[in-house]
Amino acid sequence: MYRVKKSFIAIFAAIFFIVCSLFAVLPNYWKTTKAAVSESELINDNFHGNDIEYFDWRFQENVGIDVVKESSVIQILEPLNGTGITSVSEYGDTGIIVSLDFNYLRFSSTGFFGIIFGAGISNENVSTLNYVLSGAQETPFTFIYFVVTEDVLSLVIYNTVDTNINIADKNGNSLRFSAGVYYFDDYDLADSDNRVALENQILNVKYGKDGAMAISVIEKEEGTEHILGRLQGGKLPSVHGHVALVTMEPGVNLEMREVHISNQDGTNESKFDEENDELSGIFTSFIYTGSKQFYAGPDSYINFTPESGNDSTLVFRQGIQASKNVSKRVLFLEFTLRASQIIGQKKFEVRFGLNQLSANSNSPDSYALYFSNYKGELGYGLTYLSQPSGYKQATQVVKIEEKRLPAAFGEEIKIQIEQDYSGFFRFYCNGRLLDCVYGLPKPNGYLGFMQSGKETDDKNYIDVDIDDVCVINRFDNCPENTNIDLDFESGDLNLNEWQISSNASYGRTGGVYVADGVLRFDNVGNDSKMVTKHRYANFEMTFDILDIRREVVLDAYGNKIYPVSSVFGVMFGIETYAATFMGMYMKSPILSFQTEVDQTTWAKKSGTSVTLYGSTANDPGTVLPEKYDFFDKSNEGKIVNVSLSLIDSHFELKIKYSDETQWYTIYEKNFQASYVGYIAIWGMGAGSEDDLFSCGQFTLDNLKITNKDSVPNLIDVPYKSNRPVAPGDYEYIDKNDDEEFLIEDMKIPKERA
Amino acid sequence: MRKIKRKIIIGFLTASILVSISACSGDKWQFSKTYQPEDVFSYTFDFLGKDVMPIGGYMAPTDGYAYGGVWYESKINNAQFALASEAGINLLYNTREDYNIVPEKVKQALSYAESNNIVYLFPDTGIINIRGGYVAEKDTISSRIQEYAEYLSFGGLTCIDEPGKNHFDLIGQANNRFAEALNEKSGTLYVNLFPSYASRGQLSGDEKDQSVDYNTYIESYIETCSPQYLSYDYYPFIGTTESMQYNIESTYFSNLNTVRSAAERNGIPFWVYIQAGGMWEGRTDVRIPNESEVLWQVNTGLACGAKGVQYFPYMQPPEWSDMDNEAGLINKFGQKNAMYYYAQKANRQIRAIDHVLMNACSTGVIVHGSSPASVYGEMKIESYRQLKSVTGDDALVGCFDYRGKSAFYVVSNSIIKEKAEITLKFDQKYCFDVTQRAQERSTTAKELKLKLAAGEGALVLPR
Repeated sequence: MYRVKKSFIAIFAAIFFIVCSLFAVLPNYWKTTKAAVSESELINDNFHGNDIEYFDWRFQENVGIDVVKESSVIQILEPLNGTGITSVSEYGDTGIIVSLDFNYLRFSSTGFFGIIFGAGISNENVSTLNYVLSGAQETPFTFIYFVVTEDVLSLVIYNTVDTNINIADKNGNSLRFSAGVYYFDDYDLADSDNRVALENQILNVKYGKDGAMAISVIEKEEGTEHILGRLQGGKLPSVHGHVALVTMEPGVNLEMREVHISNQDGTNESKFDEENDELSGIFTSFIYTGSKQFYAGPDSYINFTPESGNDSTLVFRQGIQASKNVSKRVLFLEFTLRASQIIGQKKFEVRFGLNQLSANSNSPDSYALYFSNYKGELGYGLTYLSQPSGYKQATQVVKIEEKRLPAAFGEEIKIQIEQDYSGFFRFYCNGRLLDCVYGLPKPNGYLGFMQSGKETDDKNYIDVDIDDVCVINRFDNCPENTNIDLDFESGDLNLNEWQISSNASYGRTGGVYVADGVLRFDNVGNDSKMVTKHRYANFEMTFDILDIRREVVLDAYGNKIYPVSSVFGVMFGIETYAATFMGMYMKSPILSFQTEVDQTTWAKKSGTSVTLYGSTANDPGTVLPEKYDFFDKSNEGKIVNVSLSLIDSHFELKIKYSDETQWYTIYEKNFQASYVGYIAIWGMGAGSEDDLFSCGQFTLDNLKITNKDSVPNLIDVPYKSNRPVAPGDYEYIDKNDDEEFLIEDMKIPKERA
Repeated sequence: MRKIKRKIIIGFLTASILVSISACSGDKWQFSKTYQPEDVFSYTFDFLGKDVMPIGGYMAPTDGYAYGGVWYESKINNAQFALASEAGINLLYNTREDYNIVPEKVKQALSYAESNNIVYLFPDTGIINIRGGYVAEKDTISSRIQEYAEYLSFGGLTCIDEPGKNHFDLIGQANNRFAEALNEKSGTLYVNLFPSYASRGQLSGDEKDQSVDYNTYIESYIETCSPQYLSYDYYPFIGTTESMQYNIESTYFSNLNTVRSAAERNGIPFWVYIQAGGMWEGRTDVRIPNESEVLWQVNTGLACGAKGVQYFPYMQPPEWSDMDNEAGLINKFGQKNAMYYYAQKANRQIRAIDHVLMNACSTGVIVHGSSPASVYGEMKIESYRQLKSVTGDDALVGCFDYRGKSAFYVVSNSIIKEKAEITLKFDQKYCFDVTQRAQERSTTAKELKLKLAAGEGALVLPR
């Protein structure tokens, strides 16, 4: 027995040892690193304008799919600084009324919506906002803007000089005022969960000729007016000029169906509405490059007319990807449906899993959620056209028996559909889960809107509208890339691995280059960066900071030549490596090390902050502890090691000095999804002589980027040096013999004898 | 004894006469008639000398810069300025190093330019910044100029390149204040204008304003800005495919005529630009001119009366560092492109004849045979004074009044004819001084036969 026990123990130990060894030795896919999940909004189509966007939808002309103008809209999504409109007319002498009919006004953690009264310019090439903020405008103006702070709609008056200014609510009580912000505590956001400040409401702002101001919100359905606040005490400047509506930061999205600006007595009106849906001549618009959307014009919807038939298909051109490593919510579809009529044996459907763009409801292995006339009421169901391989015929399988939809014909209904990789399908109507289905194919392929049932005739037809179609796809994104390990000793870079954009700080020489075995960001200006030419999902990046300018450089006469270096950083998840910095800004997470510089002395005047910017990655960040504030003179001569990683959506930033062994974690964050894209190191500096105090100067070495995907998709990248070969002076050979061309010289003296 | 002396004297005189006659090839020739001299309008720089034609290079040697991860060393050094001088360049336009930001760099460049007999122009946005909408007051300009006017190579400032009409008022204001600030010193605010193929939006300076045509653009500039000269650029060598490889843009002479006429009417000279490169800014249809084309563009410009020649670019611009050797006389490494030698050859000829051309009034051009681009307009004439006709291969003959006498600049008006034979037929026999390939030779003829390489020119002065 004792021998058996010993043997058993030995065998168990051996097995245990082997298993542990396997975990230690076998490749990463046994570890817990997950896939890089990309969540991509493939389309969010409001069908603005007069046409269906050909590049988004596959459809045929004249088949009964019409674009119908419903109203007009000004839509601004994720704008950058100053995007908005400005009245061509001028106002102020007799007071101003601004009335804005919002479909919605929505804020995230950043972003504001503002009004400038007395703007000095109305120019499509110049931001009205920038014009006033830069001090270029010399005439009086008032700039107010709305934000959502602490989940409360708030107001800031930018250029208040009268310290007696007070804003009171409808009862005359002063609004809560803190740090320059007036809080409309008495007003409930239209949708506080989604930070929607206004929804189907009218914002009214009255600006008196003597600087009085009153702000109110009108409930359109009830017609009631809610006074948000009015000036009580103090005065705003009397103004005369244009009126501008401006936005800033991608954290604000809005749609206005009407804009009315006029004198207080209603004269001299500048308006945008359904009858006047062109800005030209009434308003100018300024769109900051990189803003996601600025649109002004017809707001339309798609109508499947009674003349449309079973071949009238509207198919979305981008196919849905289903990756086995992404199980949940692979597909999300949302749209607005208004079924005015479904007559006879007709079904209006949204069909999934189409095998080609030209497919219709007979596409094998496709499945459709349909809407029908169910005993005189609006009904729905779901069918699957199953065609297992080897079978010649497809079979219609009912997955949801036809039943009544809890909505009426002619009613506007929000439809949402989610589907997992397993095929599990969820159907929501007006936010309520109506049905679930198992056993459908995974959501690969195309999706589209179409009809089925009997051919269209006077007893079988539909009249159905769709609008606001949004498709989101989540899939595993393991991009091809390469591990990078650079010590810069070769003196060059591989152009197949890097895109380099190099600018000197205004008026200075410099740029990004490799020299003396290091990478220099030498007096760089804006848009100076090195960007990978391959995308990364999970990665670790390390580099050394050998040097950074910590002292102001003076010339022999004591004049300032160069300021301290003040900012540099890393960007990742970049969409396009060839984009400019502003093109990447706010679309990809930006990690920034930044220290404040005294604009007069050009010296460092504060600690160094580490911040993470980005459209969904905004974060207040942190401040480097003194010990690791490598911008500071006290840390001169130290080599800084930096490590940052993004693995399984977990971002971590660490730092240490080269003579230390322990890393110090500066910053960590969990993102909701991975950022798959290109990686950049960037620097910035002065763009004009107004900001010569700004200049990027730092030296890096030992740059590594390592793919940390669970299954790395590594490729070999051919080497193409960035360093051109100097050809030498051109070897010129004069092929013409002078004597063949010149006249015979008679050597006639200039003076006649 | 007396008889012997007399015989000796007679014999000596006879021999002298015979020698003289034989020196005239044994033929009689006539001196040209002298006419009332025409007015001549030219502009040059004191440092160069009053008879020296400005031969400019746009994009002077630049300071160091980084491009594509590579550092390109500074070319503001004596060696680079010496190269420019050896190429025959005597005027350089700095468009990058702003005195307002890097004064020491500019002073270094002025010093090197001076050592190499080159006039140097540069931007100083601290006093004049047309695109920034700023012109300092005269006193400020005057005070600032003191910082660099001591350099002999200082010829003025670069003002603006290819301005729209919307800039003219400010340019005019800048010209006035600069001239006042200079006092009696010479200097220029350099402005170069658009070619006629610029869009109307470019000419007006506002894409929405389509009202400005080229004639209006030129006339308005002269009227508003009172310039010392008219400089404009035109890059005619477009076409790289087999069928287009010899193409020259059809409006080349038309543009030249417009500018020439406007200059003449207003009593100022005009300067031309020479396309010294191609394939720039993504334009794969802009070919790199060969030697014949460079010579052709220089010499047709001279024949039509240009009083200044400028190359674009002189040095490969830093922002074009992704190109190899397609742009400029000097590449990004500071080495000579083929273009360097073409320009050097052309400039040698200019230097040999500029003392004539800078004092000659262009009266028109005679066109014989075909022309790569049509020549028409006021400048086209059929004959001039003693020159009655031209025969032989395609030719463009610039006709000048040179201090009351005639002068002819004969150009082979072909970019492909390797050896053109052109005959000038005069009303009688004259003695000619012919300068070709920077060599002056004399001959007599009633029908003067010249052999010219493609695009080459020769100055013919009948005595």
